[in-house]
Amino acid sequence: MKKILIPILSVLLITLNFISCKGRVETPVGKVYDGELFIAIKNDVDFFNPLYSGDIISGLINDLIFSALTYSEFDPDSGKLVYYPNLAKGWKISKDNRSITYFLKTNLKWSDGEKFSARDVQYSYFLYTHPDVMSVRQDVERFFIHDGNGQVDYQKSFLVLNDSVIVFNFSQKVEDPLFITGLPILPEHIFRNIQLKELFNHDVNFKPVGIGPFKLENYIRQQQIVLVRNDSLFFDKIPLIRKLIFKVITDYNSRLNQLKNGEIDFITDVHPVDAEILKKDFPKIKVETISGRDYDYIGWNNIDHELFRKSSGKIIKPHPLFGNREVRLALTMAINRKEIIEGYFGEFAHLAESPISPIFKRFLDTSLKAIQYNPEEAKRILHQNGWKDTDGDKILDKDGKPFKFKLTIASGKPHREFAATIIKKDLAKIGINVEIEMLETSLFFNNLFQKKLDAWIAGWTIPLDLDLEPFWGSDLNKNIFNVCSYRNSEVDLIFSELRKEKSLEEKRKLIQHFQKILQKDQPVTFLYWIDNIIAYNKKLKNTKFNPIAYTNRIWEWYIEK
Amino acid sequence: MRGKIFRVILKRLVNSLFMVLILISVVFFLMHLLPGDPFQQYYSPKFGDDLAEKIRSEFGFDKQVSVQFINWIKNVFKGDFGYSIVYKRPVSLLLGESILVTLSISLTAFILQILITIPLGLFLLKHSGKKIDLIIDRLALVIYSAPAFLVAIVLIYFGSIVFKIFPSSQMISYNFYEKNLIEKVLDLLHHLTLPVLTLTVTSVSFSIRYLRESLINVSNEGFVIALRSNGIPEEIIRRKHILPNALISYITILGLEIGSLLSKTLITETVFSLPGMGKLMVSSIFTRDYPVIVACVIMSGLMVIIGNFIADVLIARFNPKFSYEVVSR
Repeated sequence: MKKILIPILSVLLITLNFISCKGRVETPVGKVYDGELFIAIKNDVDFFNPLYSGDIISGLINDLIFSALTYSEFDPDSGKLVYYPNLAKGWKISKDNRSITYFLKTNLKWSDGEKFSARDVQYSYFLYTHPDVMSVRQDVERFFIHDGNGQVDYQKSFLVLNDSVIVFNFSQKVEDPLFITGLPILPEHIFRNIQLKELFNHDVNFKPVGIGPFKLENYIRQQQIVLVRNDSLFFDKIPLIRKLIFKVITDYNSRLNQLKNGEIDFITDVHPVDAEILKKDFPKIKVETISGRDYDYIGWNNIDHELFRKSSGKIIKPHPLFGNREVRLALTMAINRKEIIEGYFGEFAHLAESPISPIFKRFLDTSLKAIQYNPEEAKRILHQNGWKDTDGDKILDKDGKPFKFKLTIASGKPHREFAATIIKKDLAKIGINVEIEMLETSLFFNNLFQKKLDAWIAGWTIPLDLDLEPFWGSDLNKNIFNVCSYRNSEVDLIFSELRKEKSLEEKRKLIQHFQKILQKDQPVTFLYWIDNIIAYNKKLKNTKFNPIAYTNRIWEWYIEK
Repeated sequence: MRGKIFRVILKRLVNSLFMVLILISVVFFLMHLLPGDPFQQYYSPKFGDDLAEKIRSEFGFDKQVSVQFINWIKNVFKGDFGYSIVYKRPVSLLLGESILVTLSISLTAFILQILITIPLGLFLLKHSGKKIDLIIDRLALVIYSAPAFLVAIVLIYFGSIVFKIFPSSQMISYNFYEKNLIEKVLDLLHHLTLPVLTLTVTSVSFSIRYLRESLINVSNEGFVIALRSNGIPEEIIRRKHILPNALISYITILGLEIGSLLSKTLITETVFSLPGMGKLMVSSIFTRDYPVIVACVIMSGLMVIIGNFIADVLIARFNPKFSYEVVSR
């Protein structure tokens, strides 16, 4: 009887524990090792301060030290962000979506023991929006009420009613008030004493006082970041893992080898070929993927960039090779994109047709048909546009000029090197001569932003708020991320409409129409959406990865004994 | 005699400082000629390049390069190397942290190299022409021809993956600060064994061939033959007569080796993820962190100059035929 009862009771206990979602996250009794998790990261943290931290790794480590009023997750079913209480226990959005009131938890303390209050929230947003601070998140200021001098009116925009209630007032109706007010909160008592202009170079950027599930225990530049769980009873998300050790290992092969030999428990950005080996030959390692927001594309410079640069952006003429929409379409048709995916990524990438990731189900235009690989049709279109092999050298020419160009890629990206080889081969078949040029990453981006490249392979991560104007808006001086210099007044109109108050349905229609225009214009050739491949030791349990960040809900992870 | 040595040292020091000044000027201007923008990291879809321009101006990088150079030189003489664009910390602080790592592994390797090379050289001289001499000579050639990172990978493969004795990266354990002094020293030794071994093996492979050659040459000289014909034991001839004479060329090689050791440290630190000057310099070059690059070049330049200077003085000290005037030139 005892033998039967024990397993039944254990199962019941386990189930009950998992159902519990408030307070400390519970796990199967006796199976949890209260220990350390070693995570390899490819670069060091830039700042321990969300005011300035810019790169992805720094962002996710900062999110473990600092918390926002809410925490969010991307819901793959609805394709939108879902919010949960965090530093705030609840919130109320006004009917006109012009303000949001947060009711804060009253028993929270900063890692130095100071009490958390609404003043911290107010001062954090003061810092984010103040021009002297030079925060990388300063753009959030556009949503708030401004005074006559064009500065954010802090008293009106961030109104503290009492220690536990704060109201955010927006200058106009906003679509997602929770998203705008979802920045990590900083301690007022620490930052109040620092001159705003001195903040950027201040020591405080590396000595964080936070209020998150973890605290910084020690940091050695270019070596390791050790986070220890915040055992404060005042925070309800007490992690099950005691320590997270982020080891900075710049070399990919070192990261992979250390996972294989057990020095490391967790790595990301695994190459597809290695993922297959790990799956097959390493039974203790689990491989998972996160569908994300990263895509690769072939950029075709739509304008004559030399003329553009020489005239300081005043003269804009079509690029002699890629200025024609039909030519760009022919180039896309001539490239076997599926061969690149199957040859390099296997199951870990998916064909891209527009800059809207398939994870944004609400906005993805599923009626868009993929442009098929059709070299014959590509040839026909090029012939129609005057590109013929008149001198018999097997290279198309027009007005005496051969169709040849440099395809530039940044070094150290094996998937892009592979793609470039296939592209060169495919385009040679229809009489186009491609020379592959590899540049050191810094130089590549320098040339890209200065519009010095004719054609290139690069990738973007699309923003969660789907603000795509910086990438496709026609104002080339303002939208420096529109590196292919695409210009279309209809697309500009869509962006201007999207800035106005719109219902979800109206927004969906506009974004889907934008995708149709982009497919017709082919300003770039969209290649593929890349999955982030994660590999970790199977002793790590209860992981739930989300496209927003792989460390989401890390406090629920546990290590099995 | 002492006064003469002092004058030589002083003259060499002045020359060395002049060389450093030329070096930093060249490096400063070359760095600014390099295409690439250290402030590119602040480009953002929302701001464009506005934030980058603002920060560029805060750092004083919007001024003319010549103005930047004058300001920078003025600050260097005050002991201020400026601020790192990437790490947002004073360069002197970054250098201080990283130079300790670099010096600890390179100096240890350097001393180990001397301790291994000299006895090994004598051993090879003793067994000159035999199988063991041939094997070690060929092996040294193979290792010398291989790049340092390959040696590092082989050592990682055996030390970390096959035998799992040493960690394959980092300088200390995550819980280093919780350990007592002895544990801390052991932890450091545990982590630094493979990097130091990488540098030592490659350095020994380089210097042993020179020392061996030099020992054999000296052993064939007339005075050695005379000593042998006088019936002095071979062991004494090797240690007291051949070795001191062969050491002169070995010391010259050691001077050169300091420069080569630094370049190997650069690679070794990257492979083993050690936060030394090599790794700092490599990452700063990729991110165009000008203040850090120039400061690192100054430091490594200084180390090479000092190394060569010490080697010259030692040669002058040990070689009675050497002219101080030649050294001081």
